[in-house]
Amino acid sequence: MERSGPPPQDNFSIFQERYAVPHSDVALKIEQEVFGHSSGVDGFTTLEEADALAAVLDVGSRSTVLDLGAGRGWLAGYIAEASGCHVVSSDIPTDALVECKRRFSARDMTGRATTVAADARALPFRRQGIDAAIHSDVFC
Amino acid sequence: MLKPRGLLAGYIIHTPSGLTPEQEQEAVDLGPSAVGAERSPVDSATMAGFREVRAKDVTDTFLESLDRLLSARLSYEAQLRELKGDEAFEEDQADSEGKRRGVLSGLLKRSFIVARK
Repeated sequence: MERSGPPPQDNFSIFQERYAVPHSDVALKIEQEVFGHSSGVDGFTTLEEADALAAVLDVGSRSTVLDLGAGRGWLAGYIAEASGCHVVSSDIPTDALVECKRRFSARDMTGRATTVAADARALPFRRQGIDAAIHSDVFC
Repeated sequence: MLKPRGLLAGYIIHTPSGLTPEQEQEAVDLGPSAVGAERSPVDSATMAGFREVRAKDVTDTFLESLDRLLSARLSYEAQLRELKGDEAFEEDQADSEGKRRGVLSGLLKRSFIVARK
């Protein structure tokens, strides 16, 4: 079902444009006030909700977690730091993945954090290679 | 892709079951454009072969976040208008207000879904 009115821009174009522009300091301040973290994300996951997600995953240093629609990689990075797991951040906008990679590097996580440009409908992973898959407000 | 007993978990904005086609359209107009779906997230996960599918309604927290987001943007309005321009600021506010109306009208929900392969 599509929005009423003139044909909307497709979701991929919307997010490609959105991630091409880094979040401003004001936007990060707002995010911190509203969600408890300032990660340059566009979803609605609070810090408490991220903790609840980390709690159900039951993963550790020998696990691989895939973040679908990862954006700039906040949630994957949070889960990786909380659990010690390996993370794969998957999304389509390359600007988001570049920022994701930069953040992993800044947190000294490059040994256990990977980015993949991929459509969630056609993921390039081998069968039974992922311990858990996470997502948060994809296409929101 | 997932190992046996692997988990799929996350947060999703969706429409509740039982909406009329007109209500579904209204939800799509108010919420994220991809919110319309033929099945609930629980039913979709079940049909995809997941078991032990659990859903926790986190719509109240979503509504609180929308209220705080709208209020916070207003408190930084001058800076945001200067940075992004009037049109972008007003679009962002209208988008969040639309989602808020959708939640208050019972057309939009947000859930924490956990499903095991």
